Amino acid sequence: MELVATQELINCYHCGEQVDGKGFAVETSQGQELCCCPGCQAAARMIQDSGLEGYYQFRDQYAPKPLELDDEQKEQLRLYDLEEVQDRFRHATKDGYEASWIIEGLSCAACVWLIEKQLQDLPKIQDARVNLTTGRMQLKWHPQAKLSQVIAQVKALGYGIKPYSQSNAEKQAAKENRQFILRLAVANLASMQVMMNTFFLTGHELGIADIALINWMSLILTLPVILYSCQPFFINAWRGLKHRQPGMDVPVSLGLGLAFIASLWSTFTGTGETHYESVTMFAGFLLIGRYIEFRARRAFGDSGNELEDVLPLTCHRVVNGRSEEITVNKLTPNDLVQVSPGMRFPCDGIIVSGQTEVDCSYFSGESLPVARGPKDSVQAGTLNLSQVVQIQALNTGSNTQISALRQLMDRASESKPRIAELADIVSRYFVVAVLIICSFTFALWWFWLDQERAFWVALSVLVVTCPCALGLATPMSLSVATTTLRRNGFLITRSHVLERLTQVQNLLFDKTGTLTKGQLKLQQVIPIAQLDETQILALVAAMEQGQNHPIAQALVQAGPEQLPQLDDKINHGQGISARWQGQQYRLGKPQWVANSMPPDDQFAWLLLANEQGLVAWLALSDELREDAHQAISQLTNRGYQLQVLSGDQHNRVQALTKTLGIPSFAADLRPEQKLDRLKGLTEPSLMVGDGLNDAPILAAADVSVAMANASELTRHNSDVLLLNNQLTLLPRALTMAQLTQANIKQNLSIALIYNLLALPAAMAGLIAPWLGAIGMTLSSVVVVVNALRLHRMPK
Amino acid sequence: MNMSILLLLIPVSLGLLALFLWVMTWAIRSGQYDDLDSPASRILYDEDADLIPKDARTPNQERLAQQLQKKNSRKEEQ
Repeated sequence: MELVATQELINCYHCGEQVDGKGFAVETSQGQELCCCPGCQAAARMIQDSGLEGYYQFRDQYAPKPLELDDEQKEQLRLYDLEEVQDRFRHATKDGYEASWIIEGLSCAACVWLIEKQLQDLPKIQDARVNLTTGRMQLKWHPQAKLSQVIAQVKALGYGIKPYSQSNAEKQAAKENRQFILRLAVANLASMQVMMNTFFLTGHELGIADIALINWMSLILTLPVILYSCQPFFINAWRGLKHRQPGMDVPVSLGLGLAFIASLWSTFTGTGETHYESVTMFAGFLLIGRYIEFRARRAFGDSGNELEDVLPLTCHRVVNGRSEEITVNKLTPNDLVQVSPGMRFPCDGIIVSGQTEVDCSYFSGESLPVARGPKDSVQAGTLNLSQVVQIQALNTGSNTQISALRQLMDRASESKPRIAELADIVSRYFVVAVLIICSFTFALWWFWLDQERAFWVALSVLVVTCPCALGLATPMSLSVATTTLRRNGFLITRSHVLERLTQVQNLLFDKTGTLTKGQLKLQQVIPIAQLDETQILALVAAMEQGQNHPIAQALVQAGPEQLPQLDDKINHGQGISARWQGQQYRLGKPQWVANSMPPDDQFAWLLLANEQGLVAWLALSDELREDAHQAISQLTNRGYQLQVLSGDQHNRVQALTKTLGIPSFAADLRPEQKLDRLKGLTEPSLMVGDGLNDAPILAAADVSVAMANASELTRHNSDVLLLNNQLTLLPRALTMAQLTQANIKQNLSIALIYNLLALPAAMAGLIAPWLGAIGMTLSSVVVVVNALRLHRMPK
Repeated sequence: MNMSILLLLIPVSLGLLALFLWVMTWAIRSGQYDDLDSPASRILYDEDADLIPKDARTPNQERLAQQLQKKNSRKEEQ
């Protein structure tokens, strides 16, 4: 028998995070399951109670982690029950109202099912339809329904929800989507039927009249494909030519157009062969590839206002000692604003009264809360953590530092280096070569061989070398690889990414929120006297319970489920005091508890003391992501240059890079300094980040990757989104990029070899109709099949 | 080989195709193709535990069936 005790890792039943300590139990039909936090527990219970346990069997990804709403946040939701607030986004229907909502955190069809079922069960809600592709919900409700209930329900399940009014860009995208599908349907239905027609043409003895009938029917079927389905290719090709940047669409249009015109010619004259089946099939294949690309871009969708999730909608202005709620855009400099804990600052300002702690991690990369008191400045978008403060507004609206960051980012994205894509280069040479050879053939036949056949042979050269396979070579490989990566959580939104990933030498990482989770966790307990570690954990968890502060939440999470009873619990802002077993305890900032200094600034230190003296030190810091070690060592082994660029303090960054084994790092960087670091690098680089302070560098990097929890603005500037926050996807995606590049090269070779073989025969006027048709189709099919090999994700 | 049947069949195929396209256009216009991701798996999420005969239910199905009944009765009250 094995006697080695293995400590089994348990994942949270609801969100899949590792369960620390005892966990929180939920009764299910399969027995007891454990959750990692009270929020998950509540969500799981809610799902159980409403009879939707099936969700846990249906889903293929873990649920997002829900946050418990405190009373104040619930109070704020009541705003949504007010008519005048609803009027901003709702439309009237026959017997109620209707509105669109953005749902955040959707990962699979089970989420959609869960949300719809939950909401449809609410009183007076007429209909809830969630669209997984766009992450939007259409909600219909009776005038008596409570919208605050809807929002609270969705939030309790762990999803983000906000109303939105559709932007023009979004309406356009929705229209384009429908158009795309119709184009696909037309092209593919027509191609199937034309292929049937062609089937009669080969291998049957037909009269001239029969052949003519079949050709005319095929022409009728191909016409809508050329005129409607292929429109985007022709338009793009024309645009490319006009701007002297001919891309892949030029040879594609050339191939489609010429094959069609040649077929048209032979249909009218009754001589030579037709190529309708190749035209329609080629169009069908290409459109599928384009549609996949379009969908990836759309899935990324932006909500219109990129700063929306960073700045609050409303704030409390203090006028003559009275507080009034106004929308943030009405705020002017020198206004006095009151900000409660849990709220984001609506503008840059200076604290007038109050003492608090501020979470700047989004803004500067600082991983621990920063203390701020009177005369200290605070930035718009940072989060007030502990106490109510009044600030005097300095910069508002477009003058805030966040907006400045945005301008910096816009400038940075202009300097993004452009790399010519392989396919574009090949296609450019190809077009020129085909046109030269074609004119040469024409001249050859016209002057020396047979004037009557010159035009016909020249046309057949163009058609036979029709760059069908060439046109498919790159898009097919790219779209298969993109789909595979997306299925694994690596969402590519710009088409150049796969190609650039193969050229990348430098890998740059942000620290807070990227290599780490951006959440505080209790790292160390140093008992000094009187109590042992278990007692301390239970006591501090009981003291911090019910406090809405990241430190408090970390301590409660570290504590046991059964907490001791305390009396006289008081929150002093700097810490908490309470009475337990006849002793008065104080927990909080070392200066406040016992006027002592923290041992170092690598951690956030708390001190616990009672009337007899010091009891224990507690150290908290930002937790490393589980797979960071594995990802970093894999990347180092492959010979990439790794670097950490952080806005956090020097020794915290140093400690982290030391544990991870990253040789090079820079700390205390402002966003523009990060940008300068990037500019100092000569080889192409990839940046991974999440915070607002990463937005400029992400905009400028050759390839930029944003974590799933990144701010809207940051995501908007990235080429890739890591949907599951899995860092180990990076090495796998880099391998995938190399495989894709190899696959594209193989495909291009296949296409070129076919053309090289067919060209001399066509120039000599020797290509039989059936041979031409088989050759063209076969080369395309081979290319498609080869591309499908990218279906598997590398380990 | 007498291929005069083609004279009939090919126009018929054209007619069928036109019909398909018309149906397709209608389906797209009515929004059935707006979400291509969830419907594929949604069909698997059946809630039919209450339709299974009582003596054939597993304990788990029994529980789900009761929950469903409770939910349905709640709905009727509304």
